[in-house]
Amino acid sequence: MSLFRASFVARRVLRAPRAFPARSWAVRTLTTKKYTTAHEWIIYDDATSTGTTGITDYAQSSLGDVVFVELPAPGSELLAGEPLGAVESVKAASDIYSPVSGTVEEVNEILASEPGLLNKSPEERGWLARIKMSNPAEMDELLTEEAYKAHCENEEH
Amino acid sequence: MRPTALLLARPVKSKPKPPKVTLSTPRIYTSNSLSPWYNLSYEDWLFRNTPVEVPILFLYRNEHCVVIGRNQNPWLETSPRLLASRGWPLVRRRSGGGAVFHDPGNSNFCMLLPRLTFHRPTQTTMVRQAVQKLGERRARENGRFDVFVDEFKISGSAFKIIAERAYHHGTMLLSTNSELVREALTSQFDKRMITESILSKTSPVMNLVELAGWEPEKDGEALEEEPAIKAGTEVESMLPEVADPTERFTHERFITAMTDVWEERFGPGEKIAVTEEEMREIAMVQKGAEELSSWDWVYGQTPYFTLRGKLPQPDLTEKVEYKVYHGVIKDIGFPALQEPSQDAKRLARALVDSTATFQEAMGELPPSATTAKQDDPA
Repeated sequence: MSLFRASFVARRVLRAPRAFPARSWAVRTLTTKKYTTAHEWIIYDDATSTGTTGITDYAQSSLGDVVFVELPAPGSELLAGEPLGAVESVKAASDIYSPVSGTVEEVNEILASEPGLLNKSPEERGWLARIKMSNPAEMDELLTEEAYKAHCENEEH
Repeated sequence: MRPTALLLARPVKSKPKPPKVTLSTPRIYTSNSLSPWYNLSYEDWLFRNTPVEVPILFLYRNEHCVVIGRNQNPWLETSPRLLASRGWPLVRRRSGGGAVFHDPGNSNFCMLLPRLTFHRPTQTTMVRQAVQKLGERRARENGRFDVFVDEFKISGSAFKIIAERAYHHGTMLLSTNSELVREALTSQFDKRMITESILSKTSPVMNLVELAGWEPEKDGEALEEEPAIKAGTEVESMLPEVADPTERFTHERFITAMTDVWEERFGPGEKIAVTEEEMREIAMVQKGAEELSSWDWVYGQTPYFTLRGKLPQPDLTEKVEYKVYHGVIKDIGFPALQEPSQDAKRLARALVDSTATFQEAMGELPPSATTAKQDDPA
């Protein structure tokens, strides 16, 4: 069942405007990155049905220096749009919402002692959680990079 | 194609920009409730259930209580045991920042704005202007969005940000008992706790009534710094002068001053007086108040920490280290080179993950243990 879903999504991704080298497809390491209007990103790995999520660079720059990050315990069940965690920056608490539904497989433990990583590397080393997605088709509902940039530009002007 | 460096090229600190959103008629809500649970729950309800484009000012007071920030440790910021003995509730709010003491001499303000209009320095200026309207012309802002008179903090602030909206709320010490502030915000554990939670920045406090009769010392270096702490832009209009400070700095006058500032910025507003009965009738407010007062929220949301101390039984002298996650003891460690007694091991095992809460366990600590020296148990 899950294999079927994964390949189903993979085919859709292949049809998306982003071009992937054919050999990626052959070794089944297709990944795709999507965004939410609440300024989260998620990279979906088709081979494992796992999404890695975090906050965008735009989000971190509007928050200022992050001093605390609260993440869910591995094993927690998440629903798309429900709280995933919270960050705090200069007396401001901000909610982070899960872009997708699924089970938390792993959280970025380093953030507990080094919350500033969210500012330094929000879209790489500052990832928040890996989520085993219960419905990979949810990825289709999220924004592409182009759509997300347009959303940010709209906020900017 | 659009330049890809768009986001990275963006300055980190942007100037206030003209909001793109069209704001509608502002509203000013005042509460007659002194319940921190209902006031905070109603504030959250306004935040999530009123139209985003309405600039809302909400003004309220609470009975005696201590309010800690979203990601703080109650045992480190205050003393739950002391609060319990005084009958003062401990409240964890949804916004960030540090711990504050409330009593009816303190007025709270909350400014709810669309995220695009939200600009912390501008809002802090509005609060400072309200204080000046009341008659305290020395009020000034600092870089942490607080308002000071000379070295004394009279107003602190905190923020909550969601996808489309944000609020800026804070305290105003009109006639709050500043002795109680110091007493309530004292921890018995602060030297023995290791945590990543948010720590309060302590400032000397004095209320506005006290400050009315207070002059900075004329000699010394403080005078040299005078230009750096000047009040900034003067306010356009003042409230009528009142000779007696206790009548000058009242909740009612603060409501008038904040309302003036709000309407000067957003235009004439709609005034809505809300009663606690009306709040209770809103199911989501009722549910929110219950959630805010639950153990799972107040204590259970405490970030992970470790604490050095002893076991909660007077005849056990072993030094231990508690590891506490979400208010529940997850592990009790004995330092190396120390062979704990069977009793100690048994008690430690019983405390880990047990239904006995951390607070109950700590409440049994003999007073002497709370002043334990900082020597390393290992």
